[in-house]
Amino acid sequence: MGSGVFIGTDAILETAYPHRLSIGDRVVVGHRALIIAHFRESDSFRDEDEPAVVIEDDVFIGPNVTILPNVTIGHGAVVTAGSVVSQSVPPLTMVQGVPARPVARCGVPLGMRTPLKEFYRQLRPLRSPARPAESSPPARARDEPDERDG
Amino acid sequence: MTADVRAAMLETLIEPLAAVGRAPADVPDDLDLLAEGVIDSFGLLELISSLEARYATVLDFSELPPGELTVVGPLTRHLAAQIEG
Repeated sequence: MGSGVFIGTDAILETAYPHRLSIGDRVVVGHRALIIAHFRESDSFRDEDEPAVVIEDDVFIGPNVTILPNVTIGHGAVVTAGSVVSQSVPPLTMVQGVPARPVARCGVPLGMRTPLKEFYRQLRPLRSPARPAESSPPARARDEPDERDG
Repeated sequence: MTADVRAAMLETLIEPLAAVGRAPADVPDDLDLLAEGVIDSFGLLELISSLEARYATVLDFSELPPGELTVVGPLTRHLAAQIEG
C-alpha cells in the first residue's frame, strides 16, 4: 500500500489474499468499491506471487466499482462509478461501464488535490468522429519491471 | 457563429436541461452546467464529441480558464472561436 491513499467507506480490498493486491501512492478508492485479487478459494497462492491486481500511482477508483483479478490499472487512470474492470487500463485513461471500456484520455490525474474543472478541461473523448484514432499507451505488461516502489 | 454554437450546444443538452427544469431558451449566460447538475464528466465528453462531429473539428480547451469551462457564456464563446479557427 502506497502513501496518501484514500479508502472510502465500506470498500472491500481483497480480504483473503491481501498480498495479491498492490496499491500505489495517492490512490483514491471510492465508497463500496470491491477489489478482488483471486477467484477461487481452491487455488493455492504463495506470499511471493506477483500481485494479481496492480493499482498504480494516482489512480482514481469511483464508488461501487468492482475490480476483478489479473488487471493493472495504469497511473493516473480513472474508473468511473459502478464500472466493472476486467481488463487492464492504460495510464491516464478514463474507463466506464460493465465491462469497463476506455472513454477518454485524462490530461491530469483526478487526485484529491486536482480541481475538478481542471481535470474536466483536460479530458479528451476517445470516440469523436472528428478525432483521429488515438492510441492509448499500453498498460504495463504483467512481466515488465515495475518502476514504482509500491 | 456564437449564436449557432450556443444553439447547437443547448440542443445537445435538451434532456439534461429539462431534468433540472430548464429549457434552452431559459438558459442564462452565467449558468454553470456543472454546478447546476446539467452535465457531469460524461456530459462534457458527449458535448465535446457532439460539437466536434457537427463542426468536423477537434476542440482545445487549454486556453479556457478552468473556472469558465462549464459556464454557458464563456464556453460558447470559446467554442465559437475555436470552430471559426
